[in-house]
Amino acid sequence: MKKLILPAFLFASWMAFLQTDLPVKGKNFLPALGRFLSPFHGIWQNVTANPISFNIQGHTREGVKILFDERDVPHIYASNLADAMLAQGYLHAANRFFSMDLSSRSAAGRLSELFGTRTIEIDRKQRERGFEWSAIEKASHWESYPENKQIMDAYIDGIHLYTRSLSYKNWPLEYKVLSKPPVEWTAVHSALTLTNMAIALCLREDDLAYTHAQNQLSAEEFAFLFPDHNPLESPIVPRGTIWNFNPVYPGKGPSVISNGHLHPPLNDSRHEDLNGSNNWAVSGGKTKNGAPILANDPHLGLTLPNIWYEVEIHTPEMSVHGVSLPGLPLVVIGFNEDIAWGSTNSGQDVLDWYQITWQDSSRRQYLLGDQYTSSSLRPEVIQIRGQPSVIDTIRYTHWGPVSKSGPHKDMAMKWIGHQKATSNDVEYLQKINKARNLAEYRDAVAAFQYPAQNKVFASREGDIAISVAGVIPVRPSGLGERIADGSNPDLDWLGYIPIEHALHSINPERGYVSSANQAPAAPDYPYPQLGRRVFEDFRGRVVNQVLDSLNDITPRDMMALQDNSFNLHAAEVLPLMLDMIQQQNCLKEEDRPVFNRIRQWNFEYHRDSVAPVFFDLWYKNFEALVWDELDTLGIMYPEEWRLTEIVRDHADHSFFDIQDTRDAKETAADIACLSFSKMITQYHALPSLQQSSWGAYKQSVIPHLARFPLFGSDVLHTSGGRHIVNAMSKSHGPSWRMIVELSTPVKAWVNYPGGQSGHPASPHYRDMLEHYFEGAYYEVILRKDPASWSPLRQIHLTP
Amino acid sequence: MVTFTPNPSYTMNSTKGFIIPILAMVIAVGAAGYFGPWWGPAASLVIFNVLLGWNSKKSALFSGLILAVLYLGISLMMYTRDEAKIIHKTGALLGGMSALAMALVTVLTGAISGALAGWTGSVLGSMIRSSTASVVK
Repeated sequence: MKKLILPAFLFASWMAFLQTDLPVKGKNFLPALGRFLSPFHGIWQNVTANPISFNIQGHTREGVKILFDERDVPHIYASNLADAMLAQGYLHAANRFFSMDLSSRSAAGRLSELFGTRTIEIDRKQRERGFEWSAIEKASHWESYPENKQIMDAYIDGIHLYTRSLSYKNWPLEYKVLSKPPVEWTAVHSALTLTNMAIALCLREDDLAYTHAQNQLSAEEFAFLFPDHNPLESPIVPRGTIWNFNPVYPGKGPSVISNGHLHPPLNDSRHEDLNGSNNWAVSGGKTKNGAPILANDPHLGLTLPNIWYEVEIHTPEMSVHGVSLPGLPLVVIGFNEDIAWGSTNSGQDVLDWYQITWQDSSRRQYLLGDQYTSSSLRPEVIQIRGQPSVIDTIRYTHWGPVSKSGPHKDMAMKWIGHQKATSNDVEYLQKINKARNLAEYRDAVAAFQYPAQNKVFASREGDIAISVAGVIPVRPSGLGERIADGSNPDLDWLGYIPIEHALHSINPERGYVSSANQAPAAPDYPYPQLGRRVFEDFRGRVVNQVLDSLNDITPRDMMALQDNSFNLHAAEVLPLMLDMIQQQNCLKEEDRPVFNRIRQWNFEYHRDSVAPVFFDLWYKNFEALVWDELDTLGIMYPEEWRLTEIVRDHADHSFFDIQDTRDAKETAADIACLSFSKMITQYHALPSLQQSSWGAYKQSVIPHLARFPLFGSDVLHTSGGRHIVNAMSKSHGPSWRMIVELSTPVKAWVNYPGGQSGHPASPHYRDMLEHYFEGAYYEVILRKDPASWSPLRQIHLTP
Repeated sequence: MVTFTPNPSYTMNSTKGFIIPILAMVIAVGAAGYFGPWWGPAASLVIFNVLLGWNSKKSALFSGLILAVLYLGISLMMYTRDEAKIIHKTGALLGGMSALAMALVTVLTGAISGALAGWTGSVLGSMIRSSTASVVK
């Protein structure tokens, strides 16, 4: 017996060691090596993901055929919608389950369950904001719509069909690396998927920044730097539209603002990454073959795999093609046999912050009106991998959940995503997927909740339209751009803009509708428009100028417009800056070649051009020197169109005086010279590769979703950038490009940066990426008859 | 002059007596790995060594070798199919290991698991046999 002790102890210890995840440097983990390195089960089994054909039996009411084309885009042929949704759920899970899981965890504040202490602050913030709580409410709200519940249930059954078939051997790679099993998907996870999108698109937090700016600046200074409207703006609903209604809420109320004891915002609130999106539709009168054309390229953070999953669905009631959002059923942006539709973010401000006055340090009772009211408490358990859980209690007030820390400490958020819905999101998706004409599109749009979107439309009948869809609150005057006094119950939202007053444009005289996240209407629209400052107007103006100038339009013209890299901001401000250099006569002779190069530039942000590098560096220095006072005070920068105006019309304004040079009083021209000189120094300090071109300087990279190095793209040299129709920045840009010609049959040209599979070993993980950045499109025609084409592989679901 | 003439039947028998159990072990370990959990191969080696009655050194050596070679063979086979360089990328992610280092760690894991399983099985086997023998006496 004694002889056995040593080998048995060593063997058991070794196996226990192999079974255990190993902490590394306190924050990371090595997966348990036994199963991870097992050639039979572990990571070695993830080196191939060649798509194959197979049958699955016993889950559908009738048979479903899924045929895959050359890009691995599935074409689902089903006899009823529920079966089609089951198939879509299966496909989403089979190709993107880790993306779905991560997206829902990110919104819920459950990342630390996977990543340990590294993500605890993110989780804490998400819990404080009550996203999971509102997703639970949303999922339960969906239950009250029997028809849509049936669709959701079938979709989730499809997800389970895949996930429940998984053993460790065929877990997606990311789960093996993280050594955690895939989650059991529920409707709450689907609701969180939607919440995550809403967080990305409509969770502005500028109220604090604006309040801080107003506290620090005089009223005149604030009005000078932050005017409400750009006089050059080209709104979505054309100027001159007659508003033949009175607003149901007059919008008058008490002055609302709490100015006391506020922390300054932590960062400049300029939305560097929010490049926006574009969509437009041109009427048959402007196109070469007389059929309307619709184009859409929504800009989002780019990752591998891409946020979208392309799909085609055929049922007796619809044939639809487009992109879906894994985690939700149906097609989000796409076309069917009769219509096409697309979306851009409206950028409406649908989030307000209220300063809470607590009765005492227990933070249980808060002042509302003339009495103290109890907050409701929701305990939050944040499970942290490798560490004990953190238990937190979030307080919910009349306004919403209250932040416990950070700049919003003791402020409650009122957000559209937390409000009780009046319809449901699946209903909107169902209606728009099945819509046949303008009336059905309008009916679908009326069911849309949030985040507010500019929904563009074109039909084979010849109609074009755009609608600002989504519920948009009407507030007492002044509320929405500053922190409100949470003890004043009169500061609540008054209601929502009624659907009949919502902004839309149908078959306008100019022959096109468009949006690029700019202001939806001119200032004479009867309801206050908040949220304009998220996106500037340069792209919208370029799109409208190009569409105004074009006739006999072809799909190729629309491709060129989506790839347009002209920077209107540079075109407006750079000549002023160049003139100032010449007037000041401050140019050194050795810098003249650079100066000449900039002067000869055509304002195109082409990846092979070096002039955008000079402009980018020069402008950043110029702007920082002009706004040094604001930096000192921690105030956000004004919009860039406003700086152009100030340079043009107020070149001697005191804002141009540099604070650090007390004896001198600088003007805009002095700053132009100084920033030019700084630009030259910075340019020469760049690595030589980055000096060569805009693409090399920008170094675009599409990272892996969980930021696993090497699983993302290599460095890409891309054209485009901020304020440009082709809004490709470092890792943010057009996530899907679609052009649809509403001819008979409907034809489309599409592409997106990535590939259909979420498995890094798959040949379809990133097979469209290079084509995408070459500006290539894939032609798509609905393939209604499964017998009319030869798929590369197929999956059959039999009853 | 004395010449040594090997007995052909003896050599053949001893080779058979060695190769057959080895082959059987390879098949059983492979099956346990393919159909069972990740620890299936090690568990099957314990059982085999209980039954074989080899001494501890031999058990540890050959069990370690069998699992190492099996792991090496499958790893190499998967490596040749690894067009997307998944192993290289995963190795880099987990501390800068190359694909070769990943394969070496895999083989080492197999070798140690096999050797410890073989040793444990052999000792356990001899204990069982000796207790059975004492009962028979």
